[in-house]
Amino acid sequence: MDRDKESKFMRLFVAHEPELRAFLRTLVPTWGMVDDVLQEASVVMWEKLDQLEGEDGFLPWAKVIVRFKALRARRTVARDRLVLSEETVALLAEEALELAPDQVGRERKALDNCLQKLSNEHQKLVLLPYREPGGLTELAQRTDRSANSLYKLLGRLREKLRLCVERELVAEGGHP
Amino acid sequence: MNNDQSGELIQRYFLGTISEDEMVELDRRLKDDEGLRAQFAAAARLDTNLRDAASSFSQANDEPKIVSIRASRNVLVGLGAAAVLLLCAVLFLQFRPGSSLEANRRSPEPIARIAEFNGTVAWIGDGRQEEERPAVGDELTGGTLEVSSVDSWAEVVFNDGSIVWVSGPAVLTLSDGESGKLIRLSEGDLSLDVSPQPPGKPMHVITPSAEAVVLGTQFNISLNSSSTSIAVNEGRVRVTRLADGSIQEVEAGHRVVAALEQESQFKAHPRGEHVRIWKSEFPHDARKGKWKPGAGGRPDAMQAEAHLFRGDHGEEIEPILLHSVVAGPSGGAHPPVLLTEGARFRIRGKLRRSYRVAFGFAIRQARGGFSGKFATKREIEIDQNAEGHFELELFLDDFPRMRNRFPASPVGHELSWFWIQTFQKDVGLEVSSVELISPESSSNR
Repeated sequence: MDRDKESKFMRLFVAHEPELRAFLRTLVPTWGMVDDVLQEASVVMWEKLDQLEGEDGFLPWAKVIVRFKALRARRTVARDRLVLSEETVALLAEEALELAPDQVGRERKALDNCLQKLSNEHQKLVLLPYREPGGLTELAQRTDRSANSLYKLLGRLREKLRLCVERELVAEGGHP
Repeated sequence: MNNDQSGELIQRYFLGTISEDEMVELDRRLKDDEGLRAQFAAAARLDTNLRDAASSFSQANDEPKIVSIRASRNVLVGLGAAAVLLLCAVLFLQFRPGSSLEANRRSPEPIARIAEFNGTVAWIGDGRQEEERPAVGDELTGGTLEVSSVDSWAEVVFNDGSIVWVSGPAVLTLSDGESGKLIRLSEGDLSLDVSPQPPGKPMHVITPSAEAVVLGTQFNISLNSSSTSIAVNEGRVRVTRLADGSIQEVEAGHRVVAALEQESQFKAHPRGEHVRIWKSEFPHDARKGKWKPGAGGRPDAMQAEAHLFRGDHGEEIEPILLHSVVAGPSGGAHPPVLLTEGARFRIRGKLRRSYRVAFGFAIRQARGGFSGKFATKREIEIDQNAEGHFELELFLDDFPRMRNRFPASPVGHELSWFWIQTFQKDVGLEVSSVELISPESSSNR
């Protein structure tokens, strides 16, 4: 086993995992698929790591592998799931390839600030779907509210966060 | 619809509440509007960052849940690249915060015990950095079991009585937590006899190419470098091919093969009637060894692969270098092979010089789990005029069972696989064929 190769792969993969995950989230409809495709793509990355010329090129190189795997995975669920058309996914992928390498990281920091601006109750609500899948329906039952109204509130809060992140990045001096 | 409605469609998409009609509309709008695509991509990044924030939030408010990679990394030593990949994928992707597997927190309480083992077996418990040599009766709290040599095996019994037979060489990780039992097999063979599992907490068995969900049943799993074969003897197992997420329900008396790629067929089919003869086809039937394609009249062969033996039954000895070839009827393509009275193995191969060679095979119950191993040694005399080639026939009776608890005779059982092995020296062992010949088969040569 090549320990140097292993440590190099681990380091690069860990450093760029958030960007790859966000890129994939643009292309496939569920988090389950994101995790599966990224796992599959990571195997290909490992196998082809020797072809990588320079560590700076890791992210765009990895994105190409991820895009290929995502488009293949999309085809397998195209008939029975709510998925975007291949043409749309290809357009999204093309444009997302151009994204600045540190964009996701900067937005992540901005999000922390934006979350602080929400009430505790709203903070918990926007994070609930990730912490407890199905938790929103339970919360609706517990608080005697309709799930639909909670989803609408959640949608509004997320949109508010997206705009807040944009503003934070502009204030920071970069582009949103 | 206006821009607000486009934004609402995007939110519904990422929250998983979008309808089919809305999906068609969102797709149409995205195709036509570059600005909306940028908004969609931003929403995807927000979704990613919120998921990450949720895991930080979880860790800040609960006890930390991230599984350390240190202990598992030790397991990587000595494994092939495939195992590395598996573990990398496991560690980075499966045990990440928020995943269902991560929720399967390791309990400090024992979850299973070693009921029996033979050969080189190492255990690395969760959070430990050093491997331990287990003893029969040792309680296990979750971790990785490495069964290194071809003549090794281990029997692990979970607290609920579910039995896992591991036939070496194999590497598996065990856990039992809030989401149920989890077994991750990165190489080797397993035979499982699973007690009925609690509702909503099925046992998950995960390999590089498949995931099996089990409520209670008896089945066998066999891995090679490119696929997983699952044969169900009792009950029913739901198998997902990881390459594309397609699912097969495998019933008793059926088997399925999940390959790493998506091109091959993934369909459960009857295990088929037993056959009584078998001849290896390399590299397809190889389980260990390096493939050497035939040329100039020379047949395809498997070159022995080197590995270390470090003691038996818990004893520590100076490592011994072994060279092994392992071959068996491919679980996916070949019907089960029954060992019959009077049957014999014919082994053809090559050595650089005369040497003592070990031969052995593993069996399983007909339509059942692992049941034993049988082994013997022979001095192979090489005739210099034969350019190192040898041919040897061994009857089933020539192989004593390796433990008293195994059946006295392998007759009536199915052949799992056959190994050929040399000790200490590399004498260039190559095996060109392994053949099972039954007394009634007419063409013996």
